[in-house]
Amino acid sequence: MSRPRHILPSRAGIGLRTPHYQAMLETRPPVSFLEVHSENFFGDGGQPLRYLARFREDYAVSTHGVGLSLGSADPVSPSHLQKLKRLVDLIEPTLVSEHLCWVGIDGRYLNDLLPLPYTEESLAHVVDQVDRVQSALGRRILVENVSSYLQFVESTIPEWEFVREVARRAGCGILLDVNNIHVNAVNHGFDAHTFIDAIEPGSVGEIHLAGFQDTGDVLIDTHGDFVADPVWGLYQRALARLGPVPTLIEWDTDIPPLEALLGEAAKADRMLAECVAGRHAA
Amino acid sequence: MLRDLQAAVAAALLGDPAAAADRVVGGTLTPTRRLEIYRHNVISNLRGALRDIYPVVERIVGEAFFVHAADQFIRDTPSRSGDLNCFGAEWPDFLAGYPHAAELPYLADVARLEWAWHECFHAADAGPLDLHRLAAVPADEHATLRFRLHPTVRLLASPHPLLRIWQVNQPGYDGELALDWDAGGDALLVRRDGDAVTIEALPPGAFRFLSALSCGGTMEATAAAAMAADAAFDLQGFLLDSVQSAVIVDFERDSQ
Repeated sequence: MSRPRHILPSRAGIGLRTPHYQAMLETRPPVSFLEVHSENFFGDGGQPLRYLARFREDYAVSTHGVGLSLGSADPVSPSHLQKLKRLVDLIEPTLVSEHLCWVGIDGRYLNDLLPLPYTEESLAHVVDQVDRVQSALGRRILVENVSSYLQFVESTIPEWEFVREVARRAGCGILLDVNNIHVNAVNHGFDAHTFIDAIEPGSVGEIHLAGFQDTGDVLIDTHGDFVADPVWGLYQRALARLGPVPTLIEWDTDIPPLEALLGEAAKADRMLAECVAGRHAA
Repeated sequence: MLRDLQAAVAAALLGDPAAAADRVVGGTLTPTRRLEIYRHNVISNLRGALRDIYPVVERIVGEAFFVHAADQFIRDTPSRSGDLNCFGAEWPDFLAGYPHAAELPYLADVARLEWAWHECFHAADAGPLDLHRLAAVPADEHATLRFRLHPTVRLLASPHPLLRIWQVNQPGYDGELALDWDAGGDALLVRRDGDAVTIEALPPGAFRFLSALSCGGTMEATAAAAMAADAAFDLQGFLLDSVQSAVIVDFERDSQ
């Protein structure tokens, strides 16, 4: 039997995390796709890859990298890229994505998604790196806009233009994280609609939704809560602009029972259905 | 320049966040406070990676001690990969030299066992040894065969009763807590049985035999090493067991 490849754009997927493996195997919920963090499957063998192969028989899968460090002034690590390629060749994911950020420099890793200075230099560099990755993998990737708690003095380009230009020049797609747009809009004081309105329809291959934590003076992108109301509002605005796009519910800390994720996915499904219906009516 | 900025920020996040404050826009929060948020994330991610790999060490020393030691380790030992599963290989050696752990001489070996467990969990799968291929080897070549261990196999010797320490510090363990510190050391075989990592104590001859095999020794040399450790070592029996349990999965002939 061939593996599912197609992701229904009108139906949401969920992030696949180990606490849900058993419930997923027992209930096989009809989500559109499952997303995994690529690095969790960089090992040579054993249980992680065996489980992933098993889920892959029934679901389309997307691999989402957190460690490639596309935005580092260091060239992309050949060994990291080789492990990613091995995983991609093995699992045949429908979507492959990375973050528009840097994770380390001078061979030393901070293992966190650090924002870039949005300059012409960074832009040209990231475009080169994305090009290298796409050549090595032999396929198009998506790059995700990250959440951030700081902006660099030397930035000269608005984040939304930077994201749009990377996709245009590198020929990659965008993974539009709507929660990150909201977090950044609040943290840095810009209008989230400006961001969404700058993104070109057709350039977005996937949308991410997640929950954040409000510490009082800053929003922290924890992926540890339900999607907030303003984020659902932005999501609807994004769908109105972009049309139905494969959407993923991410939940990585304080992971609740599977039902909570499925509930969020069902809510996204309803908005996707409204978007489709609205387009037909128009 | 991008490299210059990233180097300055990296140094600030692992050292003093205020050092890169002039590169960051302020606003509702000061630049230093913004960098501190990242510093916190960086340290908690790296700490989290250590806690995931070394739960028994944490159980033994307690959370506060673990975090304190981890923070010094993180400052001293750069992460060298974008994959957090690669972080923490040097933690056992760090603990061996950590002055505050001097009263726990077995702690570094516990950490070595946990790293072996971690490596074993992610190591490659392998099928059983091809007995037909082995049967086709002429008898006069047996002495020069080099058997290969399963990629998941890790061997670890300690002067401490490591397996007992490990067992009593497993979650849900409700058996006898007493440890016989005079029971002598352990020679352990860590391997995967299916997906499950198993740890077992080996007698001296068996341990020396597998250790010599793991270094690529010939049948003749590894048998001699095992006999030197234990004159009564049952070579045939142990070899058969090791093949049946897929501890030995392959062999090489010098003539090929």
